[in-house]
Amino acid sequence: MTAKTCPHNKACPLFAKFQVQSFLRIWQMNYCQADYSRCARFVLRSQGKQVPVNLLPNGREVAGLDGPGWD
Amino acid sequence: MDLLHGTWPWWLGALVLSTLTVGFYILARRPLGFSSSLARVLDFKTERRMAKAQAAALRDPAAFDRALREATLAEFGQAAATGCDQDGAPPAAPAIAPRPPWSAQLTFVVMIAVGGFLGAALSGDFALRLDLGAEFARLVAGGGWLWPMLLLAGLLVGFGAQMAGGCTSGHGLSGCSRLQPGSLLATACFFGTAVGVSFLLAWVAS
Repeated sequence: MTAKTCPHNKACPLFAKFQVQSFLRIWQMNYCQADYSRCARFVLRSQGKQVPVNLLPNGREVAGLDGPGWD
Repeated sequence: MDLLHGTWPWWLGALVLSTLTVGFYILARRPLGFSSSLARVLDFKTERRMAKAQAAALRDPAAFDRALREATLAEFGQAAATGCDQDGAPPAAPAIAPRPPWSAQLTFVVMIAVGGFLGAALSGDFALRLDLGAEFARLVAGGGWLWPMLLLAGLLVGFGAQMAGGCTSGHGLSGCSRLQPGSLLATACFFGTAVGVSFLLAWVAS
């Protein structure tokens, strides 16, 4: 059982990318303020690994950004 | 005091290592750790992929936001838009210190080898050799067993460092100096094992 809120809740770099607050809040409610041990970002961070900016808590990467430099 | 030959006094070694540990943290804003630096250097494909993702996010924040909305709707459906408030400014920038660049980690790893070479060369002790000495051959492994033994030992060191989340420098220097319980335990384990093995070898040799 994990603590109530993710320790990285206030400083997760992904949050700064959201323009619509309700979209951000639903991620926070379902991951950061719930069982955050299943958050892919938290898991990577806990392992001391780098966390890609486009990695979502559900383990998927933000897609649909075609263009040079995105693979 | 002759610093190029023989073993340094304990206090000087401690002073140099503590300066290195604190200096690394001040410069890199990260705890010193060789295995983590080496892991980053070797995982260059992930580094490149992450740099591209970061660049794409910075290049077109609007496209990133659109992609985030689509991903959110795909995960939570229209519930994500329920009670949708007005578009607003993103939250304050995170207060996480950026990681040192990959090239800095590569420099750190390479310079450890260069420093070791320079130290040996300046002391006049440098010599290319394919064994670890007669005593090692007598007590541990020699001849055809040397390389398989070193290979196995290297695998165990790498596996152990990965399992423990760090090596002697990460846990012993950085972790212990910050009184991290896991590091204190890890250091007690590997130093205790080293002391035990040293006594065992001394007993075997006698």
